[in-house]
Amino acid sequence: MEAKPGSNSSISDHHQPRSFRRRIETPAAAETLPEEIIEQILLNLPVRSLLKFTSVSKSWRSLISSNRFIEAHLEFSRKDPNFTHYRTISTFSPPRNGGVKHCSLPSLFNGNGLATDAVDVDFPFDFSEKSVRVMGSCNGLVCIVTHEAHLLILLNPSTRKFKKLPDVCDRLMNTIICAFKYGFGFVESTRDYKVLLVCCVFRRDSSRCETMVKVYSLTTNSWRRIEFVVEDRYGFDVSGIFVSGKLHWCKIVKPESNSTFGIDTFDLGSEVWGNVTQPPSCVESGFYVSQSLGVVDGCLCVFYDHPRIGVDVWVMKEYGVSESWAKIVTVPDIHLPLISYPSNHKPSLCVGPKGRILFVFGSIVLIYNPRNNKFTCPDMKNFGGFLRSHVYYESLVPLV
Amino acid sequence: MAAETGTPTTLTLKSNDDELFSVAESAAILSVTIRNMVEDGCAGGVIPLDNVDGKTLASVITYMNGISAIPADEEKKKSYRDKFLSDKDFETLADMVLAANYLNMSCLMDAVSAKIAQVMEKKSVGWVRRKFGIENDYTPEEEAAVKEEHKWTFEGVETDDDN
Repeated sequence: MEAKPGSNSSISDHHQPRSFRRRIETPAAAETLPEEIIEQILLNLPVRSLLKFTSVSKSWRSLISSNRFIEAHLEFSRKDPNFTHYRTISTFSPPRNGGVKHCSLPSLFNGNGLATDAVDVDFPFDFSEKSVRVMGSCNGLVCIVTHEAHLLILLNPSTRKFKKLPDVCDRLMNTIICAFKYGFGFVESTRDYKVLLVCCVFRRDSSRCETMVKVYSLTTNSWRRIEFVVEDRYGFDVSGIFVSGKLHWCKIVKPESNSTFGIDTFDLGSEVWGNVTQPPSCVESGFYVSQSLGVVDGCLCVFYDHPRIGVDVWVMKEYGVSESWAKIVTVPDIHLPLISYPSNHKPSLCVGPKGRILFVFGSIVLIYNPRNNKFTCPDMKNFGGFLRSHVYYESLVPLV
Repeated sequence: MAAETGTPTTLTLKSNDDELFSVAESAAILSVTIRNMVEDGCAGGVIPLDNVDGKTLASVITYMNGISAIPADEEKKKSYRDKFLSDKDFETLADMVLAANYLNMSCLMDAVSAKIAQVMEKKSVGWVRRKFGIENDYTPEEEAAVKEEHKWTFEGVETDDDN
């Protein structure tokens, strides 16, 4: 790679080769690093530092902004055994000002019971209506919905870039939107991000109420109405769990039917509804009051809440293979005083360093170590009770 | 290979400044480059490593011996690597990343890359340009515009303590 002799900055770039470095008389090793090694080093950096270093030179900027690097960095962060760039993003119940906080995963896992800091998410926009909830996360992007106006926002908390989604319905129609289901995920084949909304639209002028399903595509930046075929009762404000290209919700059990519940799915790519079988022996340990879905280590999981016994966690180790359901742990009731988490508090969990599992139930944060079958409770500063935590990893993924 | 004979096989490695080092073959073959040479039967005499100087090679051999003495326990290996790299300065790390790349030692390569990133993380743009010998090819206007775009990332940047 030819470069001109050391010269000062602020020279017009027109005649310069695109080079990573200049040649000086006795180069130190760092000045002779080939591009592929520099790239490997940069993959380890957090997003904030990468954005700062776009100022180093034009070639660094084009490297850091390239799709190839963005995807490599995403994969690197996702697979990092130390979970360095993983964070939780949590919303509060009831919603309150500045109601979104994030916390780094290693600090939660490595805190050894010491206080860890949770910091407010710094919204990069003027947010008059700060009572928001995180409805889903994928590839470092989070989908946020405001509490009242159903304004949907995609945010990359690491780059602080965001995109307000267009209105679902014409606001001039004087409508009230009541949402049943949300979901957010990524379509691998088209490299597109999609948001699903199942809602009921109430028109004040005509007193008409209409149920509709709409899908938003980031590529087209528009909503499209799709066919509605789910016969199930819809629940309310339920965010779908994104696993293997599909969104998942628990089917609501009709009290009169003697059946166990099932899992509804929506394939974001083909936009086809379907279902997944639940764990075969989910009722073996008796009556449970509620079940909810989660994702752990890229696998779909189900929580069964047995009052005064505990919460069973089942994981579908191989997606779509019903024989692969396995119970990984029962969180004893003693760790989860039921009174502290109303039933609408969804448990959330993730596998962290050394195979330990982080559980978030309402305001309780638990870490389970499968090696000694012990639970610890890290103490989080500034946290309080929250409704739901999502785990995401930092990424440079742009919202365009 | 070595274990069957009872006495461990020793290899002799030669740095580009003609220093000779003895190292157990079982430790040295952590380097895919060296392993390939051994498998090709080139290990009879001295193995010349033209891209690594004596100081760096000594350090790499310390690492080879240290890490291969640890049984298959990824956590212990990780803490050994962390400790091994903890006192290395930026220039030494840069020498090591080049050596690890040349010797094709992915575990050392990954660890040193991560360590360099850790050192860089909070440094200024000027520090990175100096250390990596990178020409600033922005015009002052362009540079100001790029910095403005990500202004918040410049909060909390360390002041440069070395040049």
